[in-house]
Amino acid sequence: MSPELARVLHVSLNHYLALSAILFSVGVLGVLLRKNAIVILMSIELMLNAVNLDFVAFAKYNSNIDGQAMVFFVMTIAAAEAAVGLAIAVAVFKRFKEVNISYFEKLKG
Amino acid sequence: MTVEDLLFHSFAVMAVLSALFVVFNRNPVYSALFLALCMSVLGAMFFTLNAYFVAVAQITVYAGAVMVLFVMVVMLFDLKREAEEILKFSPVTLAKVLAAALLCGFLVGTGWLGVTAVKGNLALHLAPSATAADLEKPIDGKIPRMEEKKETSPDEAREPLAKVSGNPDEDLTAAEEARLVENATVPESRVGGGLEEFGSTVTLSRVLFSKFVFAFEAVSALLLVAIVGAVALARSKGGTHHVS
Repeated sequence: MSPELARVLHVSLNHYLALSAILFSVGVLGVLLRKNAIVILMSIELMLNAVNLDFVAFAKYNSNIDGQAMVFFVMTIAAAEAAVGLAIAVAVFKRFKEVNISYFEKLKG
Repeated sequence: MTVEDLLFHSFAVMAVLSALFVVFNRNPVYSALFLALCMSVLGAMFFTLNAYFVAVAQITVYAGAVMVLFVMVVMLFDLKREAEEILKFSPVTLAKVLAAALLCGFLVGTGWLGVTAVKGNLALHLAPSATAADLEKPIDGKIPRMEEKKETSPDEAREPLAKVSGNPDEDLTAAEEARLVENATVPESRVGGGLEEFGSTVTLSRVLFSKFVFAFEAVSALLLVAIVGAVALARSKGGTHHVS
C-alpha cells in the first residue's frame, strides 16, 4: 500500500464527517424519491442518525462530552416524531387503504 | 492500516450500503430491516468512538424500540410492493438525484476543507493547558487525540489540576470543581478510581444532570406531549380506536 493511500485511509474527524454527509444525503434522497409515507419516516430517521454520528465524532475529537449528551435529546425527539408520524400514517391508511403521500393533501378537519 | 481504520471502513461501507437499500428497496418490510441493520452498525461505530452508553442506547432505543414500532405498523398495513419503479427515468427524478448528490458534495466538501482549515485554531482551542511553547510549535495538522491523553500516567494527568490550585495536595475549591465538571475534561482517574474515563456513563450522566438538566426536563415534557398526541390521533375520527 502506498504511503499516500495509507495516509488517506487513516481515520480522522474528516472521515466521520464525510460518512455522516453521505448518510444524510441518502436520507434526503429517500424523502425526495419515495411516495410511501412510512419509508419517508425511515429516511428521516436515517438523517437524524447521520447527525448523531457527527455529534459523537466531534465529542471524541474535541474531548468534550457535551456532544454525547446532545445525542440523547436527538434520540428522544426522533422517537417522539416516529410515534406521532406513524399514528398519522395509520389514520391515513384507514381512510385511503394506502400510505401514499399524495393522499395527505386530501386530509382536513 | 490499524485495526481502528479497518473497523471504520468496514462499518462505513455497511452503513452506506444498508442506507441505500432502505431507500431503493420497493418492499417496506425490507426497508425496515435494513434500517435496523444501519442503526446497529452505527451503534457499533459509536462504540469505537468511546461513546459506550450512547452505543447501548442506540441499539436499545433505535434498533429496538423505534424499529419495532415501524415493523408493527408495516405489518398492520399489509402493504403491497410499490407498483411503480423508484428510479424511473424522468426530468423530475433526475433533478431529485442531482440535488441530493449536490448536497452530499457540499457537505463532504465543507466537512473536509472546513476542518482542515480551522485545524490550527481548533488544536489550540482544544488544549486549554497549552503553554507558550505549545503555541509556538508548528501545527502538524493533527488534532490532539484522546489516545494521547490516555497514555499519561495518573501523576501526569494530575498536573493540570496542580497548576490550577497551585498546590498538588490542596483540595480543589468548590468553584474550581464545578468548572472542571462543566468542562468534563478532568483527569477523571482522580475520582472514582478510573471509572470516569471519557465517554463512560458516569461522565455523561454528570453532564446530563448538571449542565443539561433543564433540557432533560423539557424533553420529558415533550415525550408526554407526544404520547398524548399519539393517543388523541388514534381516538380521533378515522383513527384506529375511534369511539362513536
